[in-house]
Amino acid sequence: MAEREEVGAADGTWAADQALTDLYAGYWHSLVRLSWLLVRDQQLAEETVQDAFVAMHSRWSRLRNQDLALAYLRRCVVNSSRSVLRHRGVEDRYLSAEINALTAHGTTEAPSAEARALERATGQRLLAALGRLPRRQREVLTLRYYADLSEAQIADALSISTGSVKAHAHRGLTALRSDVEATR
Amino acid sequence: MNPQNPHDPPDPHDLEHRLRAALHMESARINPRERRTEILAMTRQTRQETKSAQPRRRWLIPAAAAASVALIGAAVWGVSNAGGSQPLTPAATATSTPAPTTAPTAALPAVPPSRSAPSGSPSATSNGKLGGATSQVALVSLPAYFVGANMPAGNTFGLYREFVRTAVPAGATQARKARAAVAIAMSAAPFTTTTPFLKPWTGTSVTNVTISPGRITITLSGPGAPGLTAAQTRLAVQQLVWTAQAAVGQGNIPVKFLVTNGTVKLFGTYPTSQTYNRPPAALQYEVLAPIWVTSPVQNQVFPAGPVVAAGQSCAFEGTTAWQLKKGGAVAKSGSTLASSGCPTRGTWQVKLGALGTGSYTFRMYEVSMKDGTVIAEVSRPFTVR
Repeated sequence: MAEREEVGAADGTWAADQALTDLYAGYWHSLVRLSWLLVRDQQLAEETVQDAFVAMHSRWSRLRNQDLALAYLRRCVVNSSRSVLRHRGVEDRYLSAEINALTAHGTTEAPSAEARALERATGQRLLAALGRLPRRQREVLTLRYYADLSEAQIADALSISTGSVKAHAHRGLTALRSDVEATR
Repeated sequence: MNPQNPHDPPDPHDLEHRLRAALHMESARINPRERRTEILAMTRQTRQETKSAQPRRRWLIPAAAAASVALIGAAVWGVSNAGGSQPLTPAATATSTPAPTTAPTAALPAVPPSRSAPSGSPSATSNGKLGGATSQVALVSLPAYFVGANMPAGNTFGLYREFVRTAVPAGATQARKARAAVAIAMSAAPFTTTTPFLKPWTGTSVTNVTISPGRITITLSGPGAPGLTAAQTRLAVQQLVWTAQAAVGQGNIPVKFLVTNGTVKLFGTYPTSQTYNRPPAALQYEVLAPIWVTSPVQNQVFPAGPVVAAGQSCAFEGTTAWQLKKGGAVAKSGSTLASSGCPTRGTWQVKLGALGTGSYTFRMYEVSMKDGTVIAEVSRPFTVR
């Protein structure tokens, strides 16, 4: 009995390790970037996603499916990013610093080529407006337009209804539009 | 600023397109660092803790709240008083006698040994929340940097990072966690797995850590232990800087020290009037130990099967040598190439292959290109069963 349990545990460990390896290869970068878009701090984003992967690994026996595991990772990342903002007072800094060119850590890439400067400036104005939106609207729009999630996936990641997702997305886009128009 | 431009369409699809492009372009500004090795090391640690906590779980449930409260008191007391309660050790305990760092000391009766779950604590998820919704403590893995010898018989030191599992009050602020991490780093024993190690903060404890935008302030009860060399005190200050910054997790924000007894210089050298930070990446080799083994962690237990060792190094041309010992004899050996050579710190992996049951020691070391002597070394015992 004990031997069987040991074998089972070993198999489970292998599967969890394998899932972690696969999901890491596929989603580490995009999840860190998603978290970064929410918290605007690379180290925090990396640690948030790192914790999510560790948590996913420990829950693998209940997840046992890459899609479920990815959904779990997203929930962890969004929730932890929100928690980070709430508890560390990063939100204020986000709001005031979203136009700053670089994060403070010196780990960002070099500035983009001049040819993209104008496009970037326009984008920055849009991102600044995004940063002024209520948190939930910002999350919904980021998940929708950065992570390209469906309404159902966003609802799952944020633990809200799809109706709420639609409402937040609509309000967020409307506010963005008027904000950008007003600052034009 | 262009009111005459009637061509920007209010078309929602255009806005969505622009928002998508902006977000993708924005996200490409960062380049996430690889953390796979760290994640795997943490999963192994969590797994071991979960295993060791299982037998205690059942009888703990009825008394979960009481046990949790006791745990907070015990763990927090032990950690926060560690520095102050230990006797001043001459030469900052830089003894070459290997000491078993996994054994709890009398000075820290309630603090778990490194990489072990606090006694009687339920298993926890990686984000530190305990299973029960009403739990009053959370287990968290806190990064702590320790001043350890670059090799067992050496007298040069560097910083080693370890993730130490400890209990903090549920909902603890980041500053509270940082204080716990700094206290762990300062107490060194029984948390570090490197021997010999320094205890430059013997006689000093951390009384507070505060975080304000762009600054971490660490309040200490004293200026640090006497009798250390300049190189050692530099590492001692850096140890707290790295630990606090890692625990706070907001990047390399400057660290300021306050000493409650009015001392204005740490170790009689470092003014508290200025702030401190990590050195730039190109100079971090001056601070970090040349070799880190992040997996296996100390006394890790693997199931029978393939085992992969991993870590970081700052070695000449990224080359280090390794040995796998079983029963004192070298079972396997080889060399490995890290992702970068010094002065850039690189990561390495060694596939040890499928291992049978037994006790092993993984040894990673760097041989001097100049004279063939070993100049850096880390050994990690582990078990396969």
